Amino acid sequence: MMKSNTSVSQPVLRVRNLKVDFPSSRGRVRILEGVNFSLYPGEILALVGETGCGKSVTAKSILNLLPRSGVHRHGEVFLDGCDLMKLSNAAMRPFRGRRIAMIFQNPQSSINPVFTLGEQIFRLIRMYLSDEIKAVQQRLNISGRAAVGQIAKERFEEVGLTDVERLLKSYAHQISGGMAQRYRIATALLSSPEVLIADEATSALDVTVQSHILKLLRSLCRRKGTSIVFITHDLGIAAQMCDRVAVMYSGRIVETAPTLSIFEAPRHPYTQGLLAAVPRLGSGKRLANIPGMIPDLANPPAGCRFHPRCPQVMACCKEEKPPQQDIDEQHQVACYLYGEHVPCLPTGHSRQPQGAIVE
Amino acid sequence: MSLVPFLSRRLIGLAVMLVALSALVFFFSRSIPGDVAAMYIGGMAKPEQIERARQELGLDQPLTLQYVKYMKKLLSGDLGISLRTHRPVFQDLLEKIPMSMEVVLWAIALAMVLGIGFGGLAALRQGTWIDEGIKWLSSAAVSIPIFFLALLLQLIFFNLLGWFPLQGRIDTFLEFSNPLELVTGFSLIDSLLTGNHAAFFNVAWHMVLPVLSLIAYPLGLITRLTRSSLLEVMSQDYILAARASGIRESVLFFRYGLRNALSPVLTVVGLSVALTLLATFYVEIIFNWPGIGYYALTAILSLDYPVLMGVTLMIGTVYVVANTSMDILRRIVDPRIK
Repeated sequence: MMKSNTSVSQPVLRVRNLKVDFPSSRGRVRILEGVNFSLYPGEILALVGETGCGKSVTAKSILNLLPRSGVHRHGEVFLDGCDLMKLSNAAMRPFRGRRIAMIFQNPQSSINPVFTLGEQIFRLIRMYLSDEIKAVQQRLNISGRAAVGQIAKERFEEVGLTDVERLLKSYAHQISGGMAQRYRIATALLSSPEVLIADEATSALDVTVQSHILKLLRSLCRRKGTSIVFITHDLGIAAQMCDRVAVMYSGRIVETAPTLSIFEAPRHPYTQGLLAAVPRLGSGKRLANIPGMIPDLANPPAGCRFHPRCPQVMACCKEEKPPQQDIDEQHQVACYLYGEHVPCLPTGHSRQPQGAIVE
Repeated sequence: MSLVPFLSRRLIGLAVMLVALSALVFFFSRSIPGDVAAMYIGGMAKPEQIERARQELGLDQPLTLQYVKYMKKLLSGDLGISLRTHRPVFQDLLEKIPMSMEVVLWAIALAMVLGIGFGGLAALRQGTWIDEGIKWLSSAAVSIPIFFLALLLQLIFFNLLGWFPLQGRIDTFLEFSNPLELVTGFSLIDSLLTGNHAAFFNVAWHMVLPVLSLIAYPLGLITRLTRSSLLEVMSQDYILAARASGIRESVLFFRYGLRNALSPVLTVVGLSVALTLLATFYVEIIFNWPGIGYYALTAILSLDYPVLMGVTLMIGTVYVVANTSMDILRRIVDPRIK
């Protein structure tokens, strides 16, 4: 697996201090308040968190896909040394789809309903793969049009779509959700992008279809050398699919660690609560939940945004945002319970994290 | 796409609607007080002459029987005889319909092209002064009463500026020097077919103000609908997905967006045809345009019920034909429509 070399190789995608605000009727809402993560070559990174924590906004702001009116983005997004945040919308275009691709939650609604699948994938093939079209043309001695069709056929078969001729003539409403997501994967991976952002890519699918799609995604990306940012609210999928997990809470990544460590030894109280809320067969225990609601982003709590719901809250948590602390080389957590510098200690609280873990 | 069952369903629908419509108009127009026979025979008639006319027209028979007779004749294409002009209604309609449709179709075609263009532009420049201006103008266009707009246009373009004629279809002297020959009844087409360029430009010149008066409502409606429909489409997942795959903004907007936004717009175009045909009633009277509106108005005033029936059935047919053709277009544009 990738864990052994993540620390040595250069990240393909590096997101630094990403901040996004939206205008709202009650003033500016800070959706992201400094998101940091790195994605290493060949890696699958899960971005998990509750609905509304800013996972999708993170994904969209990487490709500058947020609505343009009134949205402010700050920070840095490095792809291979190039800061995408500095690019204009037009300059961003060659990156979209070619180097960073994206697939969305509802596969059917993300396919244009008035064009056939063929018309849509042909356009993308002509856009991305002019060299490959020429190569296929020469190799098989066929016309450019036939070459495009040939490439489409190969790519369809690659994602396990059969009966290609019929599918190419079909519309989005004529195919199933699973087929639609396979098609979306085929189009997203057309140009073997460095990064694929999968935003809840399997959440709308049946469980059985889901696992097929996950396996497909994993093996295809490994073959093409594409790293994945896998956005999900499903911890089970994150565990099954990903090398590392980043846990997001209210616009910030609160804990990042290799999958194994996060499930065996979660550090942040939010991560602990999240894991305690996952149902386990045969445990016989009542399902735990995290008390309280996700914070109102127009009027967020001061300091650590999790503090009103945190069972181990300390005085300092209410004042200042906790910095990222290293548990070890690969495990970071943004919480005052850890690290050398602790500005205050709560009465009746030990430094030992409580709850699910006892080391 | 199976058009045959769709069209046959539509034809049956048309027949049912026309029967209902004819019954409604027949019984309503006949229950208006007024002696139809006296109207038919003209002023200064003796009572026995009126009585003879009543028998001749079958007006002494029960109303239901008269209706059945009327419908029987209708099936063989006979719409009866105008009580006022004593000419066959069918022949009159054949002459008048093209004159009105010429103006209506120009208005609709221009409203469609301009409306989609302006609506698209407003959506593309959402929130800018262009958008605000187009929104304001289209609201004004929908709200202004057509007769008032027609009078206003006359005031400005004839009275103040003198750019366009006050009324009529062609200048009187041209009617003698270069008379229109009847081929299709559409004067612009006829004058082109017969090489009568002088008449062509003269008729077109006369047509400008009536078309402008008629265009306002459908143009405003289509502009507003195109704008809102396009904005909704542009916020859909498939547009986001296409943008994420690096497709050019112009392609996104004009190929993907517009194509998806067109379906509701086409429905409104179909509905506007009938509305505009009704609006020509005012416009033709104001501009003294010898079309169906003028013909129908005089028929209403003189209780000329065969003409009223003919006009109503004709408008009903145009309505269904317009909507059916728009539905066919929608099916071509949007494969989801079954």
